[in-house]
Amino acid sequence: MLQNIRDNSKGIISKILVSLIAFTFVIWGAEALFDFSSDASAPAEVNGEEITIQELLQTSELQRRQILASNPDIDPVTLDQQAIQAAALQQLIAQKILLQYTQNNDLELSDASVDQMILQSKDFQVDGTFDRELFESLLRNFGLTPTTYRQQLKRGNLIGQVQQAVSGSAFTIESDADLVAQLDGQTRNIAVLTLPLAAEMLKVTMDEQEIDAFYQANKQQFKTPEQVSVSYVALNKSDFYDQVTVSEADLEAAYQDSLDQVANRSEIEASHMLFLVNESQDSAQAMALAQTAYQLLQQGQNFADVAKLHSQDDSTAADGGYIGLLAKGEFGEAFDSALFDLQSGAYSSPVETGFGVQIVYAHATDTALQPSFEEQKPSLTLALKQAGAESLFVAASEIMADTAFSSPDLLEVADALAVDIKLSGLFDRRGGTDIADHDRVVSAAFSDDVLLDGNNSTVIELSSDQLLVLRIAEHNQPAEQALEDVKVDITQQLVNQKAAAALDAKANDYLQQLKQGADIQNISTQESLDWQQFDQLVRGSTLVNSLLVQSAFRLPRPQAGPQYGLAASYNGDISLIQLQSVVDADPVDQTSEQRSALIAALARLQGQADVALLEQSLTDQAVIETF
Amino acid sequence: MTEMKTEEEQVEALKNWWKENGKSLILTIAVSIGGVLSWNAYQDYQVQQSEVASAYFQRLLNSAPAGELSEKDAASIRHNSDLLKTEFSSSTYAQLAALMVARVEVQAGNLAAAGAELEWVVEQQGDVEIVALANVRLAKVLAAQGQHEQALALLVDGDDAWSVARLETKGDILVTQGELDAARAAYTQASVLAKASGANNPLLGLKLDNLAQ
Repeated sequence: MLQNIRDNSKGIISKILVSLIAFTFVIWGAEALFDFSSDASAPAEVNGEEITIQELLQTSELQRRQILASNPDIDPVTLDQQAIQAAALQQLIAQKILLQYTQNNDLELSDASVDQMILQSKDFQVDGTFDRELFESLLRNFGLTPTTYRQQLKRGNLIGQVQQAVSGSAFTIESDADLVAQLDGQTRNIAVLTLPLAAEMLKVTMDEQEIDAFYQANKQQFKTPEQVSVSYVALNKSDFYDQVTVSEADLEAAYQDSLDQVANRSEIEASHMLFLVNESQDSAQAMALAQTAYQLLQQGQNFADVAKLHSQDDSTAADGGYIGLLAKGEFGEAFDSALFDLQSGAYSSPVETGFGVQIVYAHATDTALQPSFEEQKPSLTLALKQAGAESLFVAASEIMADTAFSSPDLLEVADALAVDIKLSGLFDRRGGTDIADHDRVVSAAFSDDVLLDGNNSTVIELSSDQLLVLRIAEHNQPAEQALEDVKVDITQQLVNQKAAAALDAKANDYLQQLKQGADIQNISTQESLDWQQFDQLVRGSTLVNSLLVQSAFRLPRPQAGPQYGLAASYNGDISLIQLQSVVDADPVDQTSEQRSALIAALARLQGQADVALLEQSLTDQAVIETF
Repeated sequence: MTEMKTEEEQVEALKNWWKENGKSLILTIAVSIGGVLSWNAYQDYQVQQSEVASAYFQRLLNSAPAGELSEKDAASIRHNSDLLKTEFSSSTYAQLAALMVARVEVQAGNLAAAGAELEWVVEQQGDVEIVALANVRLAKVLAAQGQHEQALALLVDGDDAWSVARLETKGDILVTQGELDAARAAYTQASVLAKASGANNPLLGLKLDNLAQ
């Protein structure tokens, strides 16, 4: 083909063509001709602009990490990856819409100001200054590079400018604040009579036909859940303890190690004496003073007493030179080697350190607290067995994984590990007792691979020293239950339904009577129940249940006489409400703090609502395609 | 294959071709490059301008915390808004800034000045969302000054998302005019629309309950 082009490239037109192609390559590179950016697997398109699969994966991973970070108890395996991706996609679409809005309105943010934000962000600061290492490692944690992060920050801030501009510019008109103050602080006087559902239930009569008819019509409702039981092979680290022999010599060595560890302490309670080296006292003079003090110690004088008199460290001398617990490295090498080589309760000879000449003293540790060998024996034995069993356990777990994968049942696995196959009880997708209490077991048992294809599961880690492989033993499909098994349930349901209907009818009947002017005492007598009076009920009242408060505040204001209404409760009871009076709050009664708080709160609410409307409006107009 | 040529002939042919077409080719390339460069330069200039406007606007946002504004913050908002209005009058940033100044004026009790800012935004006829928002806010400010009819005239029905805000504001105005039935109808419609889009508006419920019959 190229030869053809060359052959024919004599005419001026083809020459121009070729030079244009060459020119295009030179200026824009090969990408201009072939659009490599087009991503066939893009999950969504917003107004013709793709959301890439990378963006989606990154965002859902970020959300997954956030969920795990805020709920440390959740097992990562059980998180619904699809739900997270769907939520992430929605978020990306919403962001894309807003970002396009900022672009259409020519909103920009300079690179310099983005850099400024990064430099000023407290997240990346150590001791008040920007730390590049911290910045990069934090970004890595979230799978971001500095470039992608800056891009995201820029986009986020552009969107933020719009949101802040719309919400922050919302205001509250004084008269609106007055109205809300009146309504929000309103009080109502009511009387309440509650008709209990339980009383109606006693009156309900049921016959067999009804129950049977209901059963026939609703068989689906009474199916047993899908259940499985599993056979499984479990591997416990403790099973290997017997195979680990712990000799007396090992134990003694371990005990000695533990003593050495205490001796090799990284912290020592210390005191010191300091003899300064400065303009008025050279190191020889300081050393001479130190030697004098050292001789006093040698003569058997108490370290604290000598320090009090002779130490030139003003801040500790009065306390007998006491410094407290010291870790290695705090005062330099010369000091450390003097202090950390000391036996407990001993003092050093004078040493030159960075501070001058020092004599250091290691306070005696209480050796009585050291447990004896005999006391330590059981815990040391266990620790040694655990350590010894670890490699056996790891080796066995590898055998377990291999055989479980390659064999068609658990027999081989059990043989290879020389353990028994056990059987679980039945459990459904919500889990059960014993091993079915573990989410990982349940999700493995109901996975397609195990449940439908009948394979062994992979190795499931119940804890760091307990592993398990399972396969389905028994699988019960949802099944209809016989009438006898569900009769109690059905009866209960029907009684409830009937009682609720009867109660509703009765309550509405009473409501009509009351609206037509019946005496509230008549109902009280008829039902042998009392009206309860609540005066100056407020909206947030907890004296009565919240549904009742809501209903009472939805009733119209009393005109000629009181208003009446009904309120359902969560337990099925229905209350009759008599609304006697409504008193609006007087805005003048607000303190100036309350007033400004109200005005700010209303502006905030309005601002949030306006941002929501903007987003709604943009979404309505956007062409969103999800694939 | 065409007839073979010696190397010399080929070089000769190339030279001839260059003589004929060289100048026009170079000119074409130069014009194209020049065109691309100046278009890029123009784009860069536009972006730079937006970045400067953005910086003014960010300063304005930084002086606009929630709650009551201090004298200093209010002055800073007015100042940055003036800069945007004079240097970048047709930019979206100038309009967003005017929205913020309207808040400052309402808080200071200068309803007429707030109205003027919002009117300016509407007159720019820029982004439709901003115009819709400014219209609702202008209606509130006009109503607060007793100009109910002018306010209601701004709240014409439409089928966009902002209808919720227009209907609620319309209800507020009708209540003050004592037209409770019409107000209830407006609130109810707003409430239905808000619920359909999943918006949560506690105040709307409060106002609607207050008109229960």
